[in-house]
Amino acid sequence: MKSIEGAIREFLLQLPTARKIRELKTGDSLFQRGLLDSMGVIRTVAFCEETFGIEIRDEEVIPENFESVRALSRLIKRAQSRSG
Amino acid sequence: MPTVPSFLTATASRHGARPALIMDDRVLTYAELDASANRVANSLIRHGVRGGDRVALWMPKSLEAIISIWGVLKAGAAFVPVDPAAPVARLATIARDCEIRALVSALDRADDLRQAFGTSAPMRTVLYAGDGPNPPPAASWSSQRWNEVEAESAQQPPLHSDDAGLAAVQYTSGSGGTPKGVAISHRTFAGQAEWTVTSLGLSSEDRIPGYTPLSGAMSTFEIFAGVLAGATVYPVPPRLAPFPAAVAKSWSDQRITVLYVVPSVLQMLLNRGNLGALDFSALRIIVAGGEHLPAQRLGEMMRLLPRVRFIIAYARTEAKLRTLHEVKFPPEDIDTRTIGKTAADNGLLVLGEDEKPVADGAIGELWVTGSCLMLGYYGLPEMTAEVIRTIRLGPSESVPACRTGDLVRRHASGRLELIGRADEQIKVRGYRVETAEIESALCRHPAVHAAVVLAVPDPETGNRLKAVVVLKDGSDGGEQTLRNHCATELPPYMVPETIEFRASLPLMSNGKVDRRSLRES
Repeated sequence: MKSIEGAIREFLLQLPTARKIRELKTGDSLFQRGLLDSMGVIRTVAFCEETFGIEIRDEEVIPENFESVRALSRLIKRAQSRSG
Repeated sequence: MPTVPSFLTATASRHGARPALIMDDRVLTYAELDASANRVANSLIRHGVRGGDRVALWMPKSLEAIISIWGVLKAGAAFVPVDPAAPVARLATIARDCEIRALVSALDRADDLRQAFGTSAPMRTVLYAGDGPNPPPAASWSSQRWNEVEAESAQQPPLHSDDAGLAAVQYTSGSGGTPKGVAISHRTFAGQAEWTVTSLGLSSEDRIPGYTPLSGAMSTFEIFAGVLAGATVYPVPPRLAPFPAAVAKSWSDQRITVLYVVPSVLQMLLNRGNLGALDFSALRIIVAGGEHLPAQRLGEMMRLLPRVRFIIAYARTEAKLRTLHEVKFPPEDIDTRTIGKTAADNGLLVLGEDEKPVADGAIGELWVTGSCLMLGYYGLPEMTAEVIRTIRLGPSESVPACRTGDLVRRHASGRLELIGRADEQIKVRGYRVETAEIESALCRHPAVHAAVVLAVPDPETGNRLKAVVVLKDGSDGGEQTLRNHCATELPPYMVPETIEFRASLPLMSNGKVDRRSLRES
């Protein structure tokens, strides 16, 4: 089974904004790498909710939680612990 | 009509101490905006920019980007805003198409510029905003840093007074396979701004968010109407913009009074904005324009914000009339398809294919007349002549009119009801997209034999792009490879989200691709 971080990374790297990015470290700033536009955020939320069977609250869709692969993975674990 | 820079000069002398722009805790008063714009203008003039020249902008939304637009206009030149998320190859296409004399960009893009332009750049000078080390010297242009601009004189250069002169070239997706530039005069921007300020009752008490991309036609609301009214504009920082709840909270904190956005942004706010928990008591008007807003979603918004006036706007990049139609509360039978009122000097015609008015109750194409018309497509007189034509209104009266490609029904009451498009043009998140341009990009990939691009409905964003591709025999082009290829030529919103591979495309009896059957499959 893929790790949460691995699955997120794979998803982010196929976004249209990822064209020049070959490698994404867990701590890299997704904003500075230009990965997240408004569509990217919407699709990332939908991907995480579907893949991990969680619900991300509106007030959690904020820059801090989408700063990096690591921050996203923490957000998912928090949501998992709520539902589990 | 005045030229556009006179708006800023006039507001700066009337409300010099009032805030013009507030972004990330930086406040720029009207006096400061005016002085900074003069410095940019003086720098451009000193580096050879003359009246009528084109100056492109390719940088994220920032105070420097907005100052630069005013600086370009004060230098007597026309601004050419390019999507900051677009690849540098698209900037290069546009820069060469309208032969820009100068470029304003961000320092961290210097390497991209050198790679894309090499030794054959049309521009003679590049102005860089942002911090960082000096860019290495480029072969064919001189570079200025923002701190050098700040050392320029704040004295206003002599303003040009020709209101028919070129003020901007706004590029839009082109059905011929490459983007086309819409040339707009000062008179057109000025007329649109004056109508917007009067009809919405904008004043120096208003607080307006700057959410729309500067490269889009709608940003003229926050740039020109905002300054004419003396309002305070809050450009949304690019880092915040993708996050609906964070954007909504900032607008609540800023006590925003007038919001002008595309419907897909309203849908994003409804879906994810956490609006019910926020205070919008200062908000008096929401204007939605640029694409169709489903009545049901507007109804939800109206019930959530019962004290706000909701107005549907209609405009074209080529005809900046900005009609306004107020939707009445209670939202029972919500009408989001009426083309509303426009300025007195703009007219609306519904014509058949014979270019004569249609009968009451019939559907025809919407044509627009008046000061809102573009000058033409930049450098494309033949394409312009297909779109702007002389229409006979009576035995001795004829006017230039611009066709919109939008189909409307003219009711006996005079009401004009928007029905749809006469062509394959679609809207994706408020952006206008010619599917043919994406199809051309796909077909430039060596593995692709044929491609069709379609819009399929999407609950979150309104529309999403799907490509159906036929590969050449023996070719191996995966979905991700083709998406990456598109992303090197097209802005992200034009890159298909899904690509389906087929052995052949279904054809209709006339030999054209059967898009309907592809859409329904």
